[in-house]
Amino acid sequence: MTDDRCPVILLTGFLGSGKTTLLNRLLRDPALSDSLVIVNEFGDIPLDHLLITHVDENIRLLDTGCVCCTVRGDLIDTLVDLRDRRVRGEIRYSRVFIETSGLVDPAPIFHSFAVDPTLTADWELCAVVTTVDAVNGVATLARHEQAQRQVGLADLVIITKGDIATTEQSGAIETRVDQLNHYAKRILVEQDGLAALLTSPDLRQSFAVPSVAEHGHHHGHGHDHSHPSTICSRSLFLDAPVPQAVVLEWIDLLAALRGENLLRLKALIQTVETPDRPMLVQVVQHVVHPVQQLDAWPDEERRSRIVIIGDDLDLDMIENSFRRHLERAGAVSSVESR
Amino acid sequence: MRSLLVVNGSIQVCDDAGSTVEALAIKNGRIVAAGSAQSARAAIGNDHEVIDLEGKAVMPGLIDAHNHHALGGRAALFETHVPPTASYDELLGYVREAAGKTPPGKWIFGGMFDIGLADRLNSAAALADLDAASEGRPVVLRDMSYHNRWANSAAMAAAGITDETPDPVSGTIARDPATGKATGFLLESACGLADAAMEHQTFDVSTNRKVASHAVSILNQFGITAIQDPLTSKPMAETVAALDREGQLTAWVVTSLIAHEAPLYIPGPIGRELFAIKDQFATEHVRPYFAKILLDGVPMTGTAAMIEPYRASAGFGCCYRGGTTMTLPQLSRLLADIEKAGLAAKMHCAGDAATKLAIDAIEIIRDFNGPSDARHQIAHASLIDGDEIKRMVQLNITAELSPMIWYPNILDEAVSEVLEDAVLAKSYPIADFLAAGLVIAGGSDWPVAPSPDPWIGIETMVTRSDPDGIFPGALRPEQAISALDAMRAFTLYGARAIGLEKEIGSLEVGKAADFVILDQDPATCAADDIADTKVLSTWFGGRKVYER
Repeated sequence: MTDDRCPVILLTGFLGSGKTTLLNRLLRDPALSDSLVIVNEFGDIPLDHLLITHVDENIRLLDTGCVCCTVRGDLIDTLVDLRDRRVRGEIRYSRVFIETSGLVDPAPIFHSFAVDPTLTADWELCAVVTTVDAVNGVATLARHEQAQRQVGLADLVIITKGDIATTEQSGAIETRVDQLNHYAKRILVEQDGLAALLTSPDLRQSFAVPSVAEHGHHHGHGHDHSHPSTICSRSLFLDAPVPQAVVLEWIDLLAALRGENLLRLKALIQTVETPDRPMLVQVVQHVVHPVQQLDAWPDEERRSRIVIIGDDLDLDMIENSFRRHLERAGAVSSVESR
Repeated sequence: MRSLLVVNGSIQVCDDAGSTVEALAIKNGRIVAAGSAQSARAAIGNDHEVIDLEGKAVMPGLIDAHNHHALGGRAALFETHVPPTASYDELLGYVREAAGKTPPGKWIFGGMFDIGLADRLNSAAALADLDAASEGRPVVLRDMSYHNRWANSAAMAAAGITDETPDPVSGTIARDPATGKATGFLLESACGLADAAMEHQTFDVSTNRKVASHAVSILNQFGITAIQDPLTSKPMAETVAALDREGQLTAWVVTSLIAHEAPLYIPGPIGRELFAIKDQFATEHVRPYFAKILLDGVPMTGTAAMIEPYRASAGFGCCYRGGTTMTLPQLSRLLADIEKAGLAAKMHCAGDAATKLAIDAIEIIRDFNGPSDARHQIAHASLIDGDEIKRMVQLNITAELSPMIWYPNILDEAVSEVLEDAVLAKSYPIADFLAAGLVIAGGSDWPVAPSPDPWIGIETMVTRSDPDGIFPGALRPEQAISALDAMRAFTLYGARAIGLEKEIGSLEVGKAADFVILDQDPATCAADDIADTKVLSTWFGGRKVYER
């Protein structure tokens, strides 16, 4: 299946975490010059766009409110307009960044891309990128639940201000982000390869496929009492192919019954029906995104994996519900968890 | 209210121990002592009325866990009764007779006609006959399945049905094959059009009150002092709540607020919208504790959802299993909504596949959401075997029984014709339920069963035979239970199933003084005499509400 939908990258991060600095840096990179930016700023006086240089003609500003609620209609109108102008040959772009206000819960925007028929045909939300500030990040994450959720939802966490942080601060933020979202890719803003990551032809898959051993170690179910948080995560592995309908049904139920507490779920499933072509499933809160079937396994590890990131979710109970659901359906596979 | 001293009787307490006592003391409508005459006398002051039972039997007021009181009251007060055996001409005769008693412009409605007449009724000529018989009064009659209607021209006009009206989703406005004109024969969801018009033009607040009061007075005659209404609309709940606030309601009513779209006309909101206003209906004796889900239909029409196929038939061919009204994820979501609203579900499950679906869905809710106090009910729990019974106990699910129809009779014969013997071998395992520790509750399904008479159900649970002796034999006699347990299915156990065990169900201290005085003790009389038990008087909260 060829997919000519335009990739969208959602850029989140708490106030002052360096989103704009990051955008400026990215847009100066020749590899990303064919990018278009939609900026949302919550408040009367839009300031952030003034800080973005060089790319004026490619910036759209949404300043009627918070992008997650009132402005979602504007965002959709803007995207539809951009699509039309591209079709008419008036503008060219290969990807769109949406920069959200620092206070935003990105989940509702995610839902629009998953289910709004005016968007799903032309756009694909490929990645949620969250900036975290190495100097103040630990404190921000401790104070603001919204900041934790932004990290919980992220596919890629970009650590900013590493150049002015102490070694101690850098270590602390790495640890904290890993605790909140062990499964996200992590990169320093100065690091080479960021542009390459965002322009990769595999952009779609590289973030959607649940990565399970990104940082070489993991924190299991432990708690760090110095940083109480309700964000939690777990990955499940299956040792045998399972019927597609059974797994989808469970995912559907999880989204329907516990969507409020489910930040994200990413699953790569080996089905009984097509064991060589795994099924890719994404859930954000209560919305199950359209299921994709990959042409082949994306990596060496040919076994089903499910990554769950929750907010105040009883992961033992959820894991147990999955085992019992497989049992009830007579599906034969053992479930290993990390 | 004067205190009561009830003495000199054989009083079945219907507690777990199966106690009998000789006296009760009642103060402010509650039982303050149950035991010897001496202890009862000591529990109340001198200012009391004495009821000398002269050796007669007493037991708690009966609880009917499946009683469509408003439909029963309507049928008794307003409906035209047509036996399903009526021929075409007889059917018109009943309408003519009703027209003579119905003021012009008022509706004639009722049931039930033989669905075998369908081809005859679906014609312009028949419609003209019905119009003539009714002399212009709107008419809408049900068939025996409750799924189809026959309406006349005045009823169609009131319902806004014309020859051009398109069929509603999952319904048919039948047309004369020759002329293409609407004949008044309405199938499935199309019934709602005529029912809604009849409802709006016939039932207002005061009529609804009359219906509910009349229904409850009938129930009191049979000794019933508590019911669970199994399919409660907003007007029904409002009516009983209003009656209770005025002190006019003489039975406890637990409502089952309708949870989803169903193939019948329901006035007012349903589902979440109805759950959201449930507290408006809460009074001392009206408890909005349940939501109602219909998971399948009935075996006779092939609408019960079965695990094993029905017998092969001309209509359905081989390997037909029926189906449920929703899928496992749909039901699980609905149940989650119901629990979130602080309700439990009463789930109509006639077939074993429907029962399994219900149990699976509750298991899923527990898996995802953790433990809960919600006590969900399987209504008409009839074809269930060992492992499913165990799961029901584990998940705190209760089994509502329909013993008024579960014995050799015409319905049972109809079920035997459509289901395989191996499936029927699982029928009505009431003794297994009790042995497994499942909470059971008796229900009449009045007016689907023509009478709410609980004594029939108590007898058949003991004998598993036809109380009238017309149909021979016994249905799985090994599943018979004791008379005391059968009585408790309509008292103590029923109270547990409908969530009123703290208030009623046994004559224990602290509970409401709801009791009946009987001409014989059903626990000790001959089993095949239980159905002949006569209620001499019925007491509700220490007040006499019926006397023979």
